[in-house]
Amino acid sequence: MTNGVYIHRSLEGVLPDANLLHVKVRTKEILEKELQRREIASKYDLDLEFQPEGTVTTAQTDRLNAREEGRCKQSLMNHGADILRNFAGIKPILPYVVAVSITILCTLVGMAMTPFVDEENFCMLYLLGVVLVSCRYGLGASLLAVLLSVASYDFFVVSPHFTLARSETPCLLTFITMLVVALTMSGLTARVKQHAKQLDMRVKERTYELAVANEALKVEVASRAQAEERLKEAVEELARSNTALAQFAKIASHDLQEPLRSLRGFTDLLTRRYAGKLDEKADEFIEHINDCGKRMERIIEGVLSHARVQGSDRPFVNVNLNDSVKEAMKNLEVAIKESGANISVDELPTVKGDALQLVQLFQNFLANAIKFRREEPLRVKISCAESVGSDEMAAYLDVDDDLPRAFWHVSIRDNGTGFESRHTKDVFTMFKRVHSGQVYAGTGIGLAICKAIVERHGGNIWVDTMRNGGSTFHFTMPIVTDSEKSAA
Amino acid sequence: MSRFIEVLLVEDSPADVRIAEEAIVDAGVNVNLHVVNDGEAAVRYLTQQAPYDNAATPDIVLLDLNMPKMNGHDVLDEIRNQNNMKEVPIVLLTASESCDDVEKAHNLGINYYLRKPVQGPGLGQLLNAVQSLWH
Repeated sequence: MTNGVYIHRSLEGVLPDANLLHVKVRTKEILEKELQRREIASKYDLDLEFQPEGTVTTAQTDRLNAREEGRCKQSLMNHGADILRNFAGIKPILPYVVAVSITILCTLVGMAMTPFVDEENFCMLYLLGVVLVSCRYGLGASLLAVLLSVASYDFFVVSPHFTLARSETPCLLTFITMLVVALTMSGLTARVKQHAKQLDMRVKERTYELAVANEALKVEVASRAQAEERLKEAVEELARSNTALAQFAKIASHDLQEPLRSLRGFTDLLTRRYAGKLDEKADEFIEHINDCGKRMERIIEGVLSHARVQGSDRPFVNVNLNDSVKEAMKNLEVAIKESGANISVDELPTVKGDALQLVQLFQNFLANAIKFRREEPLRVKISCAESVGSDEMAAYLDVDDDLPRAFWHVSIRDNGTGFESRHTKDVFTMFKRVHSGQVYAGTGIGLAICKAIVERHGGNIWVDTMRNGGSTFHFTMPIVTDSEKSAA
Repeated sequence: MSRFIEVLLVEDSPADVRIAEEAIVDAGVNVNLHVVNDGEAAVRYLTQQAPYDNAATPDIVLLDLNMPKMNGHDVLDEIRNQNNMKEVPIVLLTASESCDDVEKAHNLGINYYLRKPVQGPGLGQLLNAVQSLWH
């Protein structure tokens, strides 16, 4: 993620002194993308611009300032307030007017009180005036107040009245005291004001940063929600097209099957009635037609069977995999006997599934092993272990998530021909046959059906193999807990 | 000499009709074969509507499942309640592998089903069984 500076122009008016926002937004890409969409930008009246950190110059700032005038309401209001404050020079004159007024007020009070109070005490009254002015209006006004106060005190309050004749030490002392107080107070005030101003600025800056970060967050939330929505749509679309495809396969295969069966009917008739009665070539041709017909029948049956697995909605029941294997071996009895295969089966678990499909699963694996056996006697070992997702499996499946629950990991290992490891994913694809059809008869659907079955049961399927080194097919199935078993 | 048995074959595909004819020949049973080409005609035949006013009630019906106008299921639905049709054996002919299709037909009252193409000993045994009823 790139960190960067976002200039948030529409909010600049809020911060007359700081037109640039330095907000580090982690998701620059998302923000930019969403800005391109304009929808969100216009909704929030945002005009954001990305600049790499450190490239914002003063000239740019000024330019932005100039462009910004009147951009949004907030900006206009602040602008108006500035104009008012400067109107007719009120701002600079006000403190001096106040200084003069306070001094006059003190003098009037002093003159009125002279008969009753000792005149020396009035210097304290003037001192109070000076403190007030210096607290509020800064150095200039407070100096003016000091001068006026000393003069007024001397002229109006201290006798002899209406003369500045007394220039003795107490009066000088009064002047110096007031001066020191005025200087100290106005200095303090200035510093306090400056602090307050700085604090205010920082508050505004932070508010501003927060506002932008908030906007960015909104944009990100919106974009995530959109992404999620899109994902959901894609998944639904995929499910729809999957169903449509299975439906298509079923219908197409069905319609192909009818004429094919007629064809096979006639070639059967030909064989039964005319075999040996025509010449040798005719016999050979009939045989070829028969073979092709049988092969096409097997393919169509395979496609249909694949479509049936995907389209099946038979509810799952508890299935003991030992029974499934036994059933599969019974179905393959002849082939097993002929090949002299030695099949050993470990104790297998009970899973939740479709009994018929699980028989088919093992039957396809075993038929595959028998078909691709070598000269030496075929040995097949079916074993099972509990697994929480091996690294090997994760690598194959390209997942790095923690697998949510434990799986049964079933392996079917043979000492057959195996195949090149680059074909390990191809073998589960329909019609992909990694061996040439001349050597091995097959439709290329068996393992695709296995994949469909395993996936319907919530598991994964993969294979380890080596050319001439045998193959081990693996699949996983979710472990059924005892409570789930009894619920079934 | 046993009597000829009346067979109604309901089949839209000429090729499949030919195969059935040959299968009947192979079976060596004396058969009067009547063929209609769609479900509607089958219903007219079995209810003796024109042009089948004088049609004899068949001893067995061979009924294809997949046909234009009315399919096998529709025909079954239509005729199984007819008085003269309650006892007649109906054999479903189907190229379908689907258990659902056969099960549905079974619920509608078929007695038997044969996988297409109709050939080999299956049909022969069936026709022989029907014939033996009339000895």
